[in-house]
Amino acid sequence: MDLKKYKPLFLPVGVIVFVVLFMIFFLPGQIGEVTKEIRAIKKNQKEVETIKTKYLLASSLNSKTLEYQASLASAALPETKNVPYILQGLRESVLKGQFAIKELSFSPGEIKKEDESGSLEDKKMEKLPLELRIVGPLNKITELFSSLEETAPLFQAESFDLSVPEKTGANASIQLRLSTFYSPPLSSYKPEAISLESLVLSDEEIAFLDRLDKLSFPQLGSRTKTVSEYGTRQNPFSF
Amino acid sequence: MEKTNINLLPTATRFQLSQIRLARKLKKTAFIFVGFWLFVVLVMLSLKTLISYRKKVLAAERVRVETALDQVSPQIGLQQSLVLRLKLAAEVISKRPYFSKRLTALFSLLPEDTELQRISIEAAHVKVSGQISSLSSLKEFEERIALARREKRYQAMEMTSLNSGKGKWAFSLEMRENPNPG
Repeated sequence: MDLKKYKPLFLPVGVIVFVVLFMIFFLPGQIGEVTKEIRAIKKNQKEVETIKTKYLLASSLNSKTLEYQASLASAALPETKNVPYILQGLRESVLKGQFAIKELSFSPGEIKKEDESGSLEDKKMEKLPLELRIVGPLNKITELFSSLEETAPLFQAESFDLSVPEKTGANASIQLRLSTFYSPPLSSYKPEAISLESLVLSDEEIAFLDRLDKLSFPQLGSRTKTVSEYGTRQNPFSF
Repeated sequence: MEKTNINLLPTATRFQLSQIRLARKLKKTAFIFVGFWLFVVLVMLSLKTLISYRKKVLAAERVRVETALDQVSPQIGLQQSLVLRLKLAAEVISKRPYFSKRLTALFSLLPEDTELQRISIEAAHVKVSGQISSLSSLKEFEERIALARREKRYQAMEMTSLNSGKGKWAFSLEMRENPNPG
């Protein structure tokens, strides 16, 4: 076969073959790459928008209110094993119930983790056990427990054993086992990891803060304002 | 009159002619293909340039908003810590046994002239013992227990002992509270 005869056809056929091969092998890869890049840009854009919203929400927080709310939460659930604070809270609430502490056993070094239940926010909270014997009027026992339930730091009565010796008549002796809690502060946090929801307190959280505000605080006696009285957020800064 | 096509060219020349025609057609097709290729290449290049520009803009914007976010990081940290602390405190409160309420419910069962001797509460288990000074009060006490049973206020409720002596009625009552009261 004489190939020279077909020489004029070589160039156009070559060009067509090149274009067809380009479409088959090169173009899909390029389209895939561009699609991937567009998707990455969209994702990035969404992230930037989220960061912007976070910034707007964070900058709209009223520092004074936030500090007050944080102090309330820390008073209810201290950051450290603040022994004098715990004991003072306990003493005041027992006295309010017109009872007197006769014996107190408190081992602040003995931290009992909530291993059994596995809850308590993945062990972010430590439980401190207390055991005490108190004496006081039998008819004030419900007031005693109410007072313990309305005191900061938070106390949780685990069990009790009340006995009324015949000699004392209306006076009761109570062997009471309590727990109090503390939660160490977060060692590190990532602003980018915080969710948008957690930058805005929900209605339940606000109501809960108001409830905490009504607790009696052993060392923070000068509280006069309520959470809602501290006002709302400032106008957000706009980009 | 019939038309007759007669090609008087020699065979070789005829072949050359058909080759020239084919080459022309192929060239035309090749031009279209090249045009399409150029168009695709241009579109791809423009897209890539646009993407690269958008990426740069976004990266700069990201740096800007992240820097701004860093400036308010103390507030974010405080807020994050507040939210977590509230969650934990709410969990403590929700798990409280609320002895004041439980005792109020328990005292509502007892007649007024009851002399309490012992109460112990451990988890859901409640034990009460005391003395009731009159038969009429004892009857009232039993009626209240029966009502509490009917109303299923407790998961289980049993008067474990009842003794009479010195004109008084000594009783022991044991109860198991409902896991989810109210």
